[in-house]
Formats: sequence, C-alpha cells, structure tokens
Amino acid sequence: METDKCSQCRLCQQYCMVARAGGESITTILSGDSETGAWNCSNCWKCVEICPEDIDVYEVMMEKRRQEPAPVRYKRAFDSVCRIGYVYPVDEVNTFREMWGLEPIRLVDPKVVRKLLGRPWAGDEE
Amino acid sequence: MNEIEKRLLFPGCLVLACFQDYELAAKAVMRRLGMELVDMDDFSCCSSSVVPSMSDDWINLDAYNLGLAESRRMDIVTLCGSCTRTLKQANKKLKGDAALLEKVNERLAEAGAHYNGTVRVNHLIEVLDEKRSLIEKMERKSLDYRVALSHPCNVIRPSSVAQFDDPWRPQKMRKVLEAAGVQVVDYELEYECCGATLLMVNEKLALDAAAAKMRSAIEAGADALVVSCGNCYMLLDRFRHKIQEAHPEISLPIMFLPQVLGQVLDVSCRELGLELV
Repeated sequence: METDKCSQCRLCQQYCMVARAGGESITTILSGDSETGAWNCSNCWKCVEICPEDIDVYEVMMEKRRQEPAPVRYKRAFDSVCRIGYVYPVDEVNTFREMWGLEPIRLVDPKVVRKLLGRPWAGDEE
Repeated sequence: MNEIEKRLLFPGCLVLACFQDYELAAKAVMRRLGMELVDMDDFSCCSSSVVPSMSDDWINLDAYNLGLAESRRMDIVTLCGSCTRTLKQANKKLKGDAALLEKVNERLAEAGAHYNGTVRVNHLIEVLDEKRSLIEKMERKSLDYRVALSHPCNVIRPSSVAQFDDPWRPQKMRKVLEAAGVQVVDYELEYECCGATLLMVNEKLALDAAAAKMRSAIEAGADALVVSCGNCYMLLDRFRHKIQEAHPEISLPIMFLPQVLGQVLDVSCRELGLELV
C-alpha cells in the first residue's frame, strides 16, 4: 500500500492548514490521530509537495473518500456534473456572455459526460 | 504577415458561470500580446477535486477535453487552479502510460472522442510569463495603486505536475507584473492557501483563512489583491459580506491578474470587464 511508506514524520500535518487549525484531515488520518477527515481539504497540495517518502497523499485521500458517503456539497457538485456536465449552473451562460460582449459558447452534451463516467441514465441511448 | 498565435481557452465552469470579466480580460490582454484565445465549444467539467472524490473514472473527462483540443490542433490555456492541475495531471499520466491511454481511449470512443497525447496545457500566468520580454518593451501606463498577490496553489503544486515556478515561493506572477511596472508588495501570508475549497465542507475555516490573508495584505500596504483563479476570487470577493460579518474592518478590492495587467497596457475598462457593455 502507498501508505506503508509513511515514516510518521508528520511534516504533512505541519503544512496542512486544516490540521494547524485543530481539525481532522488526511494528514491526521495518516498519523493515526484520527479515522475521519478525508473531506476536509483546502486542495493546496502542500502535503504532497513536502512528503519525504513521495507518498501521493492526494490519491490516498481520494481512495478514502470513494469508500465514504460524500458531504452534501460534494454530492451536489458531482450530481451536477452527471446532470449538466459541469459543477456550476450554466443554463444562463450565453445570456451573460452577451451582456459582457463575449461570443456564445456551445456547451457539452451531458450524455457525453455520463458516458465518460460510466454512469448512463435511462434514455441516454435513445 | 505572421499569422496570430492561437490557443484554446479552457474557461472552466466557474469562470464560465460566474466570472465573465476574467475571461474577457484574459482574452483582451492576450490579444494585445499577439495571441488569440479561442472559445472551446463542447468542453466539459475538468473533473476538479469533485469527480475523483466519487469516481475513479475522472481521468476520462480530462482526456476528453485534451482530445477536443487535439482535434482542433491547439494547445490549452487555463484560468483556474484546479482545471490546470487536473488537466496537467491527467496529461502526464496519459503521456507516460500507453496502456492507460489505450484503456481511456476505449471509453472515449464510446463518446465519439479520442486522444493521442499531443496537447500542452498552460495556465494564463505561464503564458504571460512567456510574453514577459514583450511586456517590458511595450508602452505602459503607470498605476496609482499597489497590489499584493494570491498565488493559485494548483498552478504551482504538485511541482512534479506543474513543472512551473517555485512550489513554495512562486515568483512568476510577480515577475510578470513587475515587468509591466506594477508595484507589488510582499506580505507575511503571501504563500498561504486562501482556503476556497474548504467552502465545500467547513465555511468558517475558509472565511477565517481568507480574512487572515486579506488582513496581512492590508497591513503590508496593498491597495488590491490580485488573483488568477476563479476559486480564490469566489472566496475572497463573493464571500466578502460573510468575511466582513466576523471581520468588519477588512476591506480590500480583489482583481484578476489580466485586469491589472490590462490597465497598464491601456486596454479599455470595457474590454477588461471593469464595466458592463
């Protein structure tokens, strides 16, 4: 396992803004100080950058997340990607673009995104 | 006459949905520097940190986007941190692993797409850095304000993926602005993460991190904070009212990098998204 390389030096924890604020994160999971916290991440990548054992802390965190129920905002964001192809709402995008003087843009067909993620909906093949 | 250099602009859905001013300004400044940023029809979610949290198929989304650029024979320019990192990360994996590329292409084929591994991805800061000597030679206006910088974490880390700038004390954004004659001030928390992604799970921690960073920049004498990522802007600007609920004294304008650079290069306020049409 990737985490077998961990020498418990806790450098990642020293650089983690969540751990420094007293919270649980992937860095406290790695040190055995907590079992939870895989979703509490600022996405700063300092843990990956500093790790002397070159552990892919991000991938370890993602594997852990995939085994857990997602917090509501992550779940909503992922559902949005499956529904419309993007995290943020895009239905009024071309109206806004026109207001700013930008050319209209063609959005992705969400069926394509669902196919890429292997999550087809009933009716996608029609 | 030389044909103008063209690259495909991957706006990302946050900029697409919320920050048209950033896209507008980036296009206007690059046009002034001899590069056209072309709209990327049909682009999809970059996968961000959202998709890999739920699905190990995330790389297919990036491969699809890289394939779109390849089919249009253009390299990609990005505006946000996460889009940059995830596209580069996928690109590195796909270019270095023929078996993975083949497997991903099987899925892409179902969606009518393909990727051979020939596209380059660069964030706007990198592209501007390539144009630094040109910026130095151009006629420039001086600005009557000083800026502090907020560096997009995912553009510089992990350095094995970013392959750009110092991962701990990034200097390229500063060098670009200083080449344009902009006064950049140092501040204690310059190299700290703004905390924007924490909005998803712990709003208070994100707001506290943002407040600390902004206070540090104000104390160092900055008149504005420059960002080059939609996520940083989302927290530092759009959550301003919430930051000020707890820290009413904190007030600092947030600007996108090309908006500042464009003012120096005398691009109109309308083209920089500093006023509506």
